[in-house]
Amino acid sequence: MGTYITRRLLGMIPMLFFITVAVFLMMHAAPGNAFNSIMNPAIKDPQALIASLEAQNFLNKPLWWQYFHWIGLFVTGNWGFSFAQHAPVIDLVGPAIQNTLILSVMAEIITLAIGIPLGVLQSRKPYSGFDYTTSVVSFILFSVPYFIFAILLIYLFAIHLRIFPAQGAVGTGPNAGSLLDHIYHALLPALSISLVSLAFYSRNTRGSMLEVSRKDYVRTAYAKGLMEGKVFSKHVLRNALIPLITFFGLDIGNLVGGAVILEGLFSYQGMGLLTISAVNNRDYNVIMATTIIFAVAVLLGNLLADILYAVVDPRIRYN
Amino acid sequence: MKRIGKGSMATIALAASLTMLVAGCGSGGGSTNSSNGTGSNSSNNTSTTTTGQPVDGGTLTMAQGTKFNDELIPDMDASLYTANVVGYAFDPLMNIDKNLNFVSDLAQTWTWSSDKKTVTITLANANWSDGQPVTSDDVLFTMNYLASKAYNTTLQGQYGYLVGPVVGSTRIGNGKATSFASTGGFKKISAKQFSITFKTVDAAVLWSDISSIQPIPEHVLKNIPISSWNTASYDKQPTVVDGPYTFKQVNGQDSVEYTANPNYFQGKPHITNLVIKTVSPDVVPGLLANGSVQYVLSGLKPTDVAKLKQIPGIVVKTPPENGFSYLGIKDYLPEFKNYKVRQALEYGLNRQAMVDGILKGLGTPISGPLPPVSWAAATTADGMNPYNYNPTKAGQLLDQAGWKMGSNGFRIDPSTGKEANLTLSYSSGDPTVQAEAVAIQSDLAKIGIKVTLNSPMDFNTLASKVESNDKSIQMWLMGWSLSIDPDPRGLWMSTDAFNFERWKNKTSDQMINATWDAAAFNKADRKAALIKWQLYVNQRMPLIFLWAPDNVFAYSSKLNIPNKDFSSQGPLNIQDWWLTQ
Repeated sequence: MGTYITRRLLGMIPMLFFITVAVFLMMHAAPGNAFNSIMNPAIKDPQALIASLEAQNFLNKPLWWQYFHWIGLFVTGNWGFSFAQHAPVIDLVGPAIQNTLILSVMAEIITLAIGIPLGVLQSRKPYSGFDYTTSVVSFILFSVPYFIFAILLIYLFAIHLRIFPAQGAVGTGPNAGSLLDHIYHALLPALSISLVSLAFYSRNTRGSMLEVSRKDYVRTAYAKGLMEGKVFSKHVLRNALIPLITFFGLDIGNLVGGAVILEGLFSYQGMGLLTISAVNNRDYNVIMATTIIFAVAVLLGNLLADILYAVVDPRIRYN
Repeated sequence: MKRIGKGSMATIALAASLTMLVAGCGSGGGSTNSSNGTGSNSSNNTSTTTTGQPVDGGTLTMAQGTKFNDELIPDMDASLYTANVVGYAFDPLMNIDKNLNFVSDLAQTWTWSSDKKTVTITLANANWSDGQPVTSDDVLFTMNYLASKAYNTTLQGQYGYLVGPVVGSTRIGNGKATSFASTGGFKKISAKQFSITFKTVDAAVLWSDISSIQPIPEHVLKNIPISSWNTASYDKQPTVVDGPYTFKQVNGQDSVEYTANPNYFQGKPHITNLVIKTVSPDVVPGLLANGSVQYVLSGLKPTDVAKLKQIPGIVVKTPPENGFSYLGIKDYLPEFKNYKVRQALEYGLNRQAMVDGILKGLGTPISGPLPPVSWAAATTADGMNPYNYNPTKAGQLLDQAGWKMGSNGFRIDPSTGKEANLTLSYSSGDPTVQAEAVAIQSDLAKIGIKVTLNSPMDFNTLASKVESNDKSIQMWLMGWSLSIDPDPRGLWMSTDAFNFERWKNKTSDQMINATWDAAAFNKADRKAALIKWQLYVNQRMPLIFLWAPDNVFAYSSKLNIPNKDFSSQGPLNIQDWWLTQ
């Protein structure tokens, strides 16, 4: 297993290299750069200012030079400065990734904690009243885009009932920025995401459970005289989780990606808003940093899923 | 500075920055400009505030539709939203009044030398929040910072122009000198009095440049190298300030909390606590309605107005903006060389109908380069042609210019001998800009000019193509938000970088020069020169003026803002405001 993981991790290096090259090229292919949009008639000689800002950031050098210059600094931990916000990229990415992680981990926990048990319960008594009711609700939740929930939740809980904050990742006052404050602010956006994805997980769990429960080895387990609860928990559930692990692996990648529309609605300063504003501002250093973080998360998520396969499925061995 | 682009240019409170500008139609973060506009004056639904005696205390929560950057030393960051946050803690040398005239702030009085090259400024009796006086040395320190090589290169500062006209700015900029005191640009007369000497005689320089300087405390910052200010703790939360409010807590880019500065030289503010929050423009009306926000600094759109007016306890104001939307054309192209064609385009667009339909009436059609809200704007009484919608007249002008009507109802472009087909480019992200483009296409078809709409592009792409004179751009939609001072330079000189229409005209250049020469130090003379120039522009029509949009301001009726503090560009003098308890 150790060799397998090492091999996979090493395999990521060329992949990341190609990703950075592709992103770098696409980014520079978009017309204009961060400084072209300086449009202040009060500046006496904007062309000179733009030229000097470009030179300061090496934008006047050949592309290959810029790429190797950037990667040389990046691997040593110097992620450069944001063109649009003037702060070190790391200072921008740090708080954004923290906010996004709090939000997406909460969403993931709510999703798994409700989605999987719900699917299991439905599969225990398929086609019962409980199954039908919860299935209909799941389908409704699943077919509504999450930003609709976001607006409904803001209206209900923030504006009407005033129980939860409508905007921001942290509040004001002495407790601003504490973990509790973060969780309080992340609850509504996390719920908006979860309502959609828990429906997805419950449907998949139910389907997978039903399929596995018809397998020969399950019949064998019953034939051995095992209690029904034990059959479900040891034989059915464990096997039914295998396809879900694929989805979970993909979710890991999305944990740090952020959700642009959702973050916009909640003014939640996470990776989604940071990335979209960097793209709109042609803020190259920030775009590269967020892309790499996202790419690493996706690759690690896939690796984690592969490892989990081996954990739940004894047939899979990576040696 | 203050390219508002990306953000909403719509409503910009003037917080600090008197010099804002431009650009329209952003796509990125907020709403947009060129179309945010809006119209006629005024309109409040609730009665206007200010009754009774001011009460001290309370917390005022203000909202901005676009996040600020937590770089809070004045002029470190180029975002308008950051400038709004900085402006409540740092006073500029001069402020504006309700009618957009420059008035004393930290600079109490100023007098010009007889050769008009040197201005002597006396500072008000203001102190920093730690009790130290605001001195000439602080102003010099700030000017040196703005001119320094570190500011203009390492920190990527964009406000070097504020001190650009001062003697010695170039030498400081390239590192050959470090202080205006040694270059002859600045002379300290006493702790509270100094003089600044300019390279040339320029009647606009005090308003366009010097007035916006926000002094920073030398005694706090002098030991930190300027090149590392962007990572200094003072930049994240300035501890010593001279404005009406001091920073209590900066919560990332989410919110800023302030408390009233008891030492503020214009009097301790009535409202004890101030909070500025970043909120989504989509949620703002709801937050105003439930009282969690009392004043919206930016982010409201004309389409919100009707909705906002239905909320009880909310005051909505829509004064005209100091800016305009326009249809850009490249004047040097054969199609547009003849100014009669340009006049025909202005006559041929039903701008009032567009304002009424697209902007819900929140805007005023204009036909010249200074919006009506400027003190120097020329009026019809001065001889401005309003170019009221007149397709017949437009047709006659086109006939005179040789644009003969073809058999299929579209005109022939005399420069090519083929049916004219003009292309119009615009930015994506704002549905109103799209609506404008379609309306222009249909109006021009009525006078026989075929217009093809390019597919919309993001604002940066459009801006970069317009700026670089890309061949694919023939006509485009954009807007400018203007500085308070009506100086035409920057947009209108033949050599100006933002003269996107590439209008090269010696007569206009001479007329512009007369607006800032020695004679223009007299305000009446300057106004006369500006009017003369506007009449010329009005006749030559270098670009097709559309309208001056309205700003949209909304606030709780519990927030009392004295009428004398409500300028068309937003409320001023926060220390006078108070909250009904």
